[in-house]
Amino acid sequence: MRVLVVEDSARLRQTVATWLRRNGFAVDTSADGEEGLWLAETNDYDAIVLDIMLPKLDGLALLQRLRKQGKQTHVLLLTAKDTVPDRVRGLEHGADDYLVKPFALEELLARVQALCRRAYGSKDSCLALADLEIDTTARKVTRAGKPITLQAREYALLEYLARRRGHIVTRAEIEEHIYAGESELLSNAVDSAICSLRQKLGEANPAPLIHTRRGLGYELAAE
Amino acid sequence: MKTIRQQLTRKLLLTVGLLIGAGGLGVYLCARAALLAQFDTALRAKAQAITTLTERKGRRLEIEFSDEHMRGFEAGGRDFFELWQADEKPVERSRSLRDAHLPLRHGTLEAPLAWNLTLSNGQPGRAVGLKFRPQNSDDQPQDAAPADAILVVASLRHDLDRTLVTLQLVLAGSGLLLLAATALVVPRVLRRELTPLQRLAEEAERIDAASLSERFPTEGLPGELAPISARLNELLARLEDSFERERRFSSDVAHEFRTPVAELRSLAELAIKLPDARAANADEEVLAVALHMEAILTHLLALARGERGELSAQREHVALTPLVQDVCEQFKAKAAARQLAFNCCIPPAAAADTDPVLLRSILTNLVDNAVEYAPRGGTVDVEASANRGGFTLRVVNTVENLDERDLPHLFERFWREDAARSPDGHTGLGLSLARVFAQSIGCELSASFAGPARLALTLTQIKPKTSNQKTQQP
Repeated sequence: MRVLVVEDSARLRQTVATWLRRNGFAVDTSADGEEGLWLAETNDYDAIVLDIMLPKLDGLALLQRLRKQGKQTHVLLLTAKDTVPDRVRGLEHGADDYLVKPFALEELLARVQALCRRAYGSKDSCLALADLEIDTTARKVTRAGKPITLQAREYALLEYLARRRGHIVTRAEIEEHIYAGESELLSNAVDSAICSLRQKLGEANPAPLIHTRRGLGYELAAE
Repeated sequence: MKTIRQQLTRKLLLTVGLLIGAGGLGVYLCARAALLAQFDTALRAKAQAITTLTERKGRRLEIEFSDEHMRGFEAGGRDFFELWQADEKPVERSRSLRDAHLPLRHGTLEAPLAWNLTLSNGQPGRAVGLKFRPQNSDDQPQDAAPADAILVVASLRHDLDRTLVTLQLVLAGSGLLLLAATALVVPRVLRRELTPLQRLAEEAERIDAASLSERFPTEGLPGELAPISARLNELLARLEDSFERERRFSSDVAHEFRTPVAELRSLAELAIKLPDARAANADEEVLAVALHMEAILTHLLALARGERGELSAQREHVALTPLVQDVCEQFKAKAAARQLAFNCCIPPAAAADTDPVLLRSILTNLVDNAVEYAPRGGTVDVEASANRGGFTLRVVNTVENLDERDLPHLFERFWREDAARSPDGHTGLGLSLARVFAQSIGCELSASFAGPARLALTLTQIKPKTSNQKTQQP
């Protein structure tokens, strides 16, 4: 999942980005509204965490311009303004959710996950395919009833494939959504992650779930 | 709970009751005295008649008395008399007395003695007694020694007593009627006349912290209540102002503290949840957030105190030149680092009567802002002038993205040109605080454009006061 965090407080920006990255998200950050808008326009994010009071271009104006361009990326407004009119104004400008500072990192994570689920048209926090079950809230994976322990990056990759099950996901898409912002990405990083994932899934049940479509990419399917 | 209406009613009724009682008693006593005087006059007349009928014949006294002439003295009559010689030897008495005697008491012929008595038949009566000298009969020798006689005449006082009782009843009845009418009318009149007070009380009851913008009516109020209503309205206006300030203060505090608290919380949470992700400078970051919060708090409290008029300015003779130069000196390095042209222009030996601490604080704030917000390569000019009429300090700096519409907002709390918090530790309270400080030392702080993209903040002394005068902001 790829997320953009636009927040002018450097401390908050860094901690939120670190927290989301450690939970398997690919995170881009921006400290002002203009750069944030440019990033949101030029990339395909699953969700945007957006502060309202920003230098150069405030969060609500950014959101309005994004929506005018037809960008439907889900946006979580992060703000110090907590009155009902503030919340209403934020939602009227096209925000999908609203989180008042100070907040718990767990709550931020849950809300960002919920927005990402909505990005793929699902409200269910449980993804299932054959005997594979993924609880996206608890971030737990089981196959044939046996729990499978995954690293954060492996989990993010599996969830991304599961959300797009039935579709072929290209290597570029995986790189963009799972490894975005990582300058030193090894050329075989995606392949090794897929390999490791196949191995862990195969331990519970040898029937293959992740299929390679030559020249196209990968697909999560039960065949 | 006692009400004014009840108290007034009670006291009015008591007063009216006392007045009616005293008036009634006065009328009764006067009427009684008049009736007694009339009764006594009649008795005296009867006595007078008897004295004229009394003659001395030798050593004896005789009354030429007949029932026809003196009705009432006959047996069973209402009048009585008894005549004595001077040596108190009874001479004659009326038939109405039968075997009884009247008490022997007397005054003179000119001033007879009158008194109440109980007659032998047990009935109440009134008597007059007098001593007189009877005339001698025609056959009395002229040289006979004169001798006095004593006469007591009495009458039953049934009629008098009945009249007095009637009078008592009439007076008591009228008094009670008057009291009842007062008790009926007074509360109604009071209720009607105290309606404006009642309305005022109802209005006051409705007012709470959420309705401080309401005001008491001042039109159509009685003269006694109009000033109360006006004072209450002034009090409400002050209360509303004070509540509004407190509300704004709480809201500002809540709003401005949310971001640093969020920073602290996320830093701490991250350090707990992901100890390996803890940044090397995490402690410095926490300290920086704490110091920023402390600065906001200190400024907000100073601002609140200033707005409540709790800042006192200690005026003294201040040498402006070294003070301004000293403040400018503090910012020269920062200005140089930002490649700003920094000019400090102040005449030698400029002086003013003001509070040096607050003035330094205002100037530091203005210069700090100018050096902080002037774009790189811009200019900052600090100018000062002073004369007998007071002093003027001006800080002019280059600005960008600021126009005339922004000027009124410059002194608002937490107003920033681009709506974002400053990353440099500025609280957004400096100019608000500087203006409050300026007011407390009798100065005006204003913002204007001294040219294209040249913002000028000018501090002007309005009323120079005498030295060492302690003043308080209104």
